[in-house]
Amino acid sequence: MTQAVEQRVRTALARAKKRLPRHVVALRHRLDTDSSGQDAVYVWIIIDDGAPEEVWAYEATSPLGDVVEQALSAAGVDLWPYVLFRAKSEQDEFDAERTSA
Amino acid sequence: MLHRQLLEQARHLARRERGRPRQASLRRAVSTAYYALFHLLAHEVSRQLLRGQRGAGLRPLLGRALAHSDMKAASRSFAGGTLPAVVQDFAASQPSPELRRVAKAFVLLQEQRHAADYDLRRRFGRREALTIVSEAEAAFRAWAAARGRAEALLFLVCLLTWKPLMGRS
Repeated sequence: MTQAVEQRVRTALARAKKRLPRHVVALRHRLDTDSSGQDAVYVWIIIDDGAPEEVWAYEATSPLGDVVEQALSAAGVDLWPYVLFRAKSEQDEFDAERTSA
Repeated sequence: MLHRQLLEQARHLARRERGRPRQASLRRAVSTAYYALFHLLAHEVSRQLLRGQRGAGLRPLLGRALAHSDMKAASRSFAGGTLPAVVQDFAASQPSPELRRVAKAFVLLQEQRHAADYDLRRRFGRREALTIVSEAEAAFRAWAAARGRAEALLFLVCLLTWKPLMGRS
């Protein structure tokens, strides 16, 4: 996938981040080919560890995913979006493992 | 019902360890969540397409005809809300939000199942696995709302016949 697509995704996610609540501390993404061989964008919505338990309910996370998908669509990103969620501590642990590897 | 047991087992696996979860537990949770939805839809395909006593004996055979990749392709189309012409001719309207939720969940869950079962680079967190299980649970609820509609029957037919349908369109 091209640099232009990467930039468009970054721009879209930056816009989406502004529309998300404060307990969303980051958006991480990866462009890749999915298991069906189609180009896709994987987005992880990173949620603060101190956020109340109710933010993890499906009724609370689903609209966050919608914001991300709408932002990607509005930016003309023609990739299938896979939106996932992680706690900040989980993301930090995976980042540390990658750094020390 | 197998699909309900699998859904319960998925959540149980994601919460299995009191402390730091094992990757094996989280990966099996994700994979099991996918198979819960797969078996729900397989059950519905065989139940709704082979009704009554006469069809009962053949239901397991129909379920075996389902192909995961074709189901994903069909689900992508329904989730996106735009159906190919050959299918659109039989749809009264765009897929409802409930049906789109089921289809979208199927795409996400199959992709995550693939990662859980085959991608050793990938790491899963407990929160991540639980939100994936929640996606399956939401799909079950959405299907319960949609299953009696004509669009649901069309979806089930497409899950079974997508590949030959697309080959002829």
